[in-house]
Amino acid sequence: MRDRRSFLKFGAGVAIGSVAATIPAMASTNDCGPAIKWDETHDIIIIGSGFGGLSSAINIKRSGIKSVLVLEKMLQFGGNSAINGGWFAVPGNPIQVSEGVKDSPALLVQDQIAAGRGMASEEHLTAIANRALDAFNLCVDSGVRFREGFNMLVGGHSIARAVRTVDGTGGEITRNLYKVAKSEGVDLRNQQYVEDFIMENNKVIGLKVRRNFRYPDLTTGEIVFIKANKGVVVATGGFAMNKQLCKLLDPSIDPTMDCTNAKGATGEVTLTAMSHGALAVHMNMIQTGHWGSPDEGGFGWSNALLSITWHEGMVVSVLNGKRFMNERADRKYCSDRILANRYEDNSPAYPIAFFNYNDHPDDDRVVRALRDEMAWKMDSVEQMATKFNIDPKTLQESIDLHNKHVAERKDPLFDRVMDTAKHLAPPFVVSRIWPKVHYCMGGLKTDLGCRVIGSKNLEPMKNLYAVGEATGGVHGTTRLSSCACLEGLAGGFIVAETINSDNKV
Amino acid sequence: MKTLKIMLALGMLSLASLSLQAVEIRDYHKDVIGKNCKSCHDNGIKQFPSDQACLQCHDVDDLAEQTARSEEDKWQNPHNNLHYGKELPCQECHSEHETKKPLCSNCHTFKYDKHKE
Repeated sequence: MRDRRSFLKFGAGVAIGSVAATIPAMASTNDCGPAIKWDETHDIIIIGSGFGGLSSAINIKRSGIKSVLVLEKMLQFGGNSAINGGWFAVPGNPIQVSEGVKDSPALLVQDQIAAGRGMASEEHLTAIANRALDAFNLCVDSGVRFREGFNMLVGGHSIARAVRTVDGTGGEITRNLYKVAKSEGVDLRNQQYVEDFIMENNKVIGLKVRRNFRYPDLTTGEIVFIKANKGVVVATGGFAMNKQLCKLLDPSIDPTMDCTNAKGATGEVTLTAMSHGALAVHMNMIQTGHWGSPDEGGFGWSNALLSITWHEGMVVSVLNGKRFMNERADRKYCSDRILANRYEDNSPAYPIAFFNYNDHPDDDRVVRALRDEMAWKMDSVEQMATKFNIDPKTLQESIDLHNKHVAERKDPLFDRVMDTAKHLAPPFVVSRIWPKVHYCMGGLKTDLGCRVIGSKNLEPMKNLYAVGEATGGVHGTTRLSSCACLEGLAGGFIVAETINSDNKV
Repeated sequence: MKTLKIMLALGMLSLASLSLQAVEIRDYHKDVIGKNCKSCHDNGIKQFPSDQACLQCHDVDDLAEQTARSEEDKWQNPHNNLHYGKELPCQECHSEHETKKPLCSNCHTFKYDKHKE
């Protein structure tokens, strides 16, 4: 028999219990170093398992540092690197050499600086470009396969220098580097969410980690403290998938744009480092990939398919059936012009991109795109005009004009380099295009040795390093195609040398 | 008194309902596991299990063989795929107590007819 008072007490107890169950344990965010009970100790802890993290792990381990731990917050390893298009800028690559193409790190950096529109760091780009062949050789030695005889000129570059993995994805690299790292004694763990850095003044001495974390639920797993005697390397990539943060940093990020990134690219570790005084720069420079397709999610196949269009085909607006840009220019130039295609209600008027079906009938990019219906085979200009609601006469005129420019090898409208452009005639492979949020040029500022700069005194913070997309101030306003792979992999070589230098007795 | 009992009964009933919902399991696992939660929950009943729970009974090499595709699509094999090889954790695509789509569907429109959401 319960009276009214005891019933209320019972109910209140249940409510309190329920509330408590939904709130993670309120640990102090000012965990003091000396008072910490460490669950584990390692020499180096690397946060993130993409190109930057894996290359760092292998290079640091090979440099003689004994205990290297890699923490990945997601279930799967590889981050964005595993799902990227597998393009890799390698000046001086073996195919260039065999074909007599003259290239160098300095020439690559020139292109990157032009794309950076005055905001790139020549010193950082040079340090990275100088490790291109080392990075390429690490891949080859690790069993990574590249397309034979394949060396491509990609957007914004002045020389063909981009090699590509055999199946067109960065997973070929991450899978192989993961195996090598593991076989060489690197401890790689998934489901490890880094909640905080443990600092001793300006020095990172360890991490507070949620082990057995299940993304995105911050109540899963349990807290452990892991000591890092020689340093922490932030290789956590960018934050393009964090819509709230992107909007705060760049209000012009268009809500109609999807994001190419893996789900984990949300930038918490960068924000955590900033909260401990790390200097972040260029955070509002958020790049869109102009090669997105509204007809598939995330990264998908469109980048691969559209590389044919950029070289051989053309892009027209569905608003007037005309070309509106140089299809071979870099992603900022192209994204801006594509995004300008709007209906009167400001909804996207997705431009169409097309090339000759008969030039590529068996190409896997074409076969897959048509099968998965993110592109269509159009047997006539009339059919294309009908499907995409364009005036057929204007569309034909635009194609005729393009073909005239091809014959003359000169584009007076947009100054496109026409060396690979094809005479276009039906049937066509046609896809719709719309940019997707893709890459964050902003991030933690580092010195040339990958040491993170602190905002208090503008000097390197002790034992804190960053590589890859987690860094900022390198590319300026535009990161060129095929250079993210280079940046991540090269960073691993640089940071290993720095850590060994910093730990000399 | 009567009202109090009814309220209490309703409360208990809703708790029981929640309990029943929380332990919905796949038919093909009911037959093998029954009500032994600890068969899978190696991190404690209130936490997600590790993948070792799946690998006690399932072999990834066998699975990769069972779900192999023709040469043209061979990397669309969910158990040996282009991005992660055979290293993609089981629970990235399979959930016991809730519905879940394959990870691939975040970016691709591949057909996985045998996948049980």
